[in-house]
Amino acid sequence: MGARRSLPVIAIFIVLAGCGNGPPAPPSPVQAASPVPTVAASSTGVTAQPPLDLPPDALLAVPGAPPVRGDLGSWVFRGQGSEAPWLPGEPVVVPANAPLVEVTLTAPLGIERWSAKVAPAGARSAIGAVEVGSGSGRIAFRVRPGVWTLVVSVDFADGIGSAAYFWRLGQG
Amino acid sequence: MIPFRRRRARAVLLLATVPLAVLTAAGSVGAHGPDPVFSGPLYAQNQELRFRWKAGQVPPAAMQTAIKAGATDANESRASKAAFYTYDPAGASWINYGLDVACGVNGLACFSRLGAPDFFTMSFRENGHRYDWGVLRWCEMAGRPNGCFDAENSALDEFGHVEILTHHVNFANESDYDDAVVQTFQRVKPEDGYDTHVFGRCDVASLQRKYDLVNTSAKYSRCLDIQTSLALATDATWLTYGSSATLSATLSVVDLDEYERLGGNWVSSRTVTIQRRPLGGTTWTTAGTMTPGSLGTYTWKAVSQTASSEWRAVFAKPGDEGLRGDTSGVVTISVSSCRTAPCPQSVPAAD
Repeated sequence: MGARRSLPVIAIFIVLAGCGNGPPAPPSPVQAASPVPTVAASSTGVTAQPPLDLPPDALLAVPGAPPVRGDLGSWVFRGQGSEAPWLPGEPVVVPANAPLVEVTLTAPLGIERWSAKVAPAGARSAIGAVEVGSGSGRIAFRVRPGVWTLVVSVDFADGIGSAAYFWRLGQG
Repeated sequence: MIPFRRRRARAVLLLATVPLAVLTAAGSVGAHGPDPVFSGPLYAQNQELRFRWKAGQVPPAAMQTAIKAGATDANESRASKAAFYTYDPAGASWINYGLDVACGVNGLACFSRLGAPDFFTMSFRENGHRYDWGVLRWCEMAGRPNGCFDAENSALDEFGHVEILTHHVNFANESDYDDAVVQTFQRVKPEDGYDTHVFGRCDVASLQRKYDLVNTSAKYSRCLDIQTSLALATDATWLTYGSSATLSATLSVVDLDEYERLGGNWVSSRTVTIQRRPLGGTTWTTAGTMTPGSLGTYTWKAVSQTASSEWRAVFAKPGDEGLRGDTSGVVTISVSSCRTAPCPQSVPAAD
């Protein structure tokens, strides 16, 4: 939504580097995965607010357009987590010929499992959403023509967590 | 703690014989399985986690009530030795509410279990908070209008995360949403499940695997598909005509690594039947229901035996829990045909 903007050229490089059978994308300067923070109780029993360790951003790439960062919904990551509702999603214009779209992460994390669902724009929950793709590893799928909210749910490898990313797909 | 586990004693043999489907069902990944879990530390079994309100960010009364209710919901529906929650103004863990919660841009509520196994933190965004997507309405503070979020449900979800759970993986059509409270997308009133106040069976399944059941008689979550092992023995393999023998069965969970704390558990207070057939026969007849004892034992007194028989015990798959059935091996009890003394003192040697 409003707080997020399309990324510049550096993000395009990340997306392209993550395609095909080449080596994995280099760590992104946008937001690198950080070590697990630790928190300790003080001698007085007062515990501090732990620093928030967010999951990486996700970039959706559509042919002929710059990648767009998804709105981060609910996530759990390295011992922390946050609950969010079904979000409207960051606007993306998709060509009418239902192209293959690809989502990449801005940190070199393994992907154990992912799924992509679409629901009519304006939906307030996942009820009635339709799965348009799922798998492990590379995230790529075709989207249906129309105006949709797209959510891509990612389970990171090694049990470090999961995250949901939202886009609002419009017809180009 | 359930006493006397036979940890992995039979694992090698069983791994060679257990179908792949069993192992898959036992795993934590995949739709409709037990909730995935964090890779971090657990709390101790039945550890008491005392929480307080964070100074200066104390929830309003209605939210306090909802959060405490969520803690009670977790305690009462964990069906395991997972940690339990108690409000204590001097508690090491804290919960806050308001503008400054660190839940990210779109977060309604959040948690940290980085302090495990000593403490946790939890946060709730203030009622009326304006996001890009809309305005947050907690049902407990807003008169329960459509579109509100149930704070008690949110708290239960967060307490589940604190234990070890991450978001349940639903079927593509979310038809199994009610199987877990720890969900990626919290529903709003009046959607189905928006105000669920007990852990779902797939939440419980992972809590049981990580923290164990409360005792050997407790039920296994129906989100699990646990293989059992039933063994049968007798105190006499040869009887004089008309005398009796006692058959003893033991029922346990197969000791597989993926069953974690459940592997090797004795399974008590179930229905185990005893069957017999004539020596050399082919048809089994149920003789009765074995008497349950402690630690997964079941006994049957075979009284006044007049003919040699084969015996086996049967544990049928229960409909109300996630255990598979099993049938024991066959035990033979030979009975002398000699009715009057003097009779041979042992069973005749086989030809």
